[in-house]
Amino acid sequence: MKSEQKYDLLSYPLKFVIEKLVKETRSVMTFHLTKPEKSLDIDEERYASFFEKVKPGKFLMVWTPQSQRKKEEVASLDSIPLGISMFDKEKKRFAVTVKKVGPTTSLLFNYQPGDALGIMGPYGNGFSLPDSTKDEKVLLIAGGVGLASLRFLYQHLCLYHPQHKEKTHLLYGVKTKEDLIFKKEFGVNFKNFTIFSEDGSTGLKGLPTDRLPYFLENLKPTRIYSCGPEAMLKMIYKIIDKFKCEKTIKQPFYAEYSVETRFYCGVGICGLCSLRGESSGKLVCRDGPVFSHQQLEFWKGE
Amino acid sequence: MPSLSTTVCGLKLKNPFIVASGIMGGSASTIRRLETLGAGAVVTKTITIKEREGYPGPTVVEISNDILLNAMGLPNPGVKKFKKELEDLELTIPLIVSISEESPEEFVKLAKNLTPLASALELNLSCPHPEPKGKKKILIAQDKEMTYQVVKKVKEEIQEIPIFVKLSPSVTDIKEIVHASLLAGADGITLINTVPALDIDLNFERPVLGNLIGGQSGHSILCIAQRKVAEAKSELLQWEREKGRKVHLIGCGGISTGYDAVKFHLIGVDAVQIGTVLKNDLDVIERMKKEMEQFMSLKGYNSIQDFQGKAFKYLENVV
Repeated sequence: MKSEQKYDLLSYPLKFVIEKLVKETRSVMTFHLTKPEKSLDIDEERYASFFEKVKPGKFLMVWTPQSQRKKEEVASLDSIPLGISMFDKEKKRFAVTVKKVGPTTSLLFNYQPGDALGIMGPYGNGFSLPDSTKDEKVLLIAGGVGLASLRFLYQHLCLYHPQHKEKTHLLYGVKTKEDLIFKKEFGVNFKNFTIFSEDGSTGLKGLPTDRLPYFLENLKPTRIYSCGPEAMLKMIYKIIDKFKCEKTIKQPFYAEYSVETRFYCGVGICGLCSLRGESSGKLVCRDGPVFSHQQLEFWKGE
Repeated sequence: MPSLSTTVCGLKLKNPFIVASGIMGGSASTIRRLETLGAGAVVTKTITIKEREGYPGPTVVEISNDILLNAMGLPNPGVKKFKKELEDLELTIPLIVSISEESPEEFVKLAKNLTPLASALELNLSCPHPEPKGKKKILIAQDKEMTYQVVKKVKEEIQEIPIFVKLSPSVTDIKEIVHASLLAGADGITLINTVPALDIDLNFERPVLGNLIGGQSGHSILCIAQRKVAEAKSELLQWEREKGRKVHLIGCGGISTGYDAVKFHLIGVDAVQIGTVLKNDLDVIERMKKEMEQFMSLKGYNSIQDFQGKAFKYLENVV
């Protein structure tokens, strides 16, 4: 317990200001947040530590302490866990992409540029990154708003290992055309992608998992990262597992899944976010939210 | 090699490190994980009759390395779902089930329901009890009469397993509350629960916890806990002298190393509970065991009983 670590705090809100709002769909908004121009000396170290610790796959808790704009005190609302969709360490900016699902997210949608939010974290382990000394090929599989976390991962890969920009492929599934997020980035930011919609209103009709075997065989990825609804992750798991067992593809590949759950303490002691169905007591906030294929072996029987 | 094994109210513990209530004790898989990590026993998350969502976040904030603030609001699945969760759980260590409600009758209902799967019960009395309108809510553990009623009713109905009473440090005279628990027949006393606390966020100029107020834990409360535990020990010894019945004592609050645990044993506890220390490192239990063994080897003690209560003689007329 060194005293110089005193302000290197993990689980305490840090103030960020909304710079810009981007309406992705009717119910999804991207909040671009930035470090305030002026801040207390006591917080400087915490900001530095925050920008040092953020990495793809980790998550934040967004606290909505009060409505600043209306100058009225509203009841404190629950802190909610969110994935990071964009991160710029140099400019001290980042973005979270939020889907309106309940009272807290609804309150959040009333916030305007200039309003402040309390951000806690980053929590969790994050994705393990490809080996830069090897010729790795990445496949991203996203469902719905799950694309947010994978967008940050992709941004990170392209920034530090530009070869991934051309080689990475994204499979992205939505219910319908209106659910697409980051619309302007397809073809610009995301070079290689295949979009799926359940109703066929955009891209291919169906689910990303329908075509996953094809991509495993032809793309021959060495890393597969998935983020989205649990039902989708389990389907991906089963398909990948079949491939692994039958050794249909020769090269070794590594798969990781970002699992969503409700969080309570965030620091791994209350134990309420234990990984459903798993027997050794893994906690999503402490040991996840990213789990490897091997760690999710219990999904086999489900 | 010194032995860390000990017995508390008939429960055989491989070591005196019991994982406190609220720490990973809410599901079968996490309880098993605590067993694997070397815990001497596990206290479950506090269970209530109905499912509870808990308070809005932030529920846990870190103020410094030594100060953790929490206001969880006893989130738990409720007794019915919890029993189902634990029905296939087999453990080699004792499982102490923590329960809480507002009235003695509700405590009894929970106790009866959960006794079949518990090695012991711990009554969490740090739960507000209903007060006439306009009055500040107080905790059961802050009222000797309420404490007596709850413990008495549970003891009347449950004879199969030991009943521990978990007390709050936030009282004028802890001896009074300990005495009420003893009169009512408690088999063991656990103290201290978290210390009532508050923190104001400088940026948002308001309390940081979702529940506004909460409880403090972490190394910062170590000495507050030792003092309260010593006062309780004094009351227990007097009871033992007068009535000839030994009531066991479990010390907790701020224990972060095996050496901290030794301090509580020198005051005279029979075991300790740990909680917040598990935040940074789950392998800490093994480390704490080694530290306690090192103390014992250095001093030439073979068992915990060899040094248990050794420091109390200095406190006899003080606390």
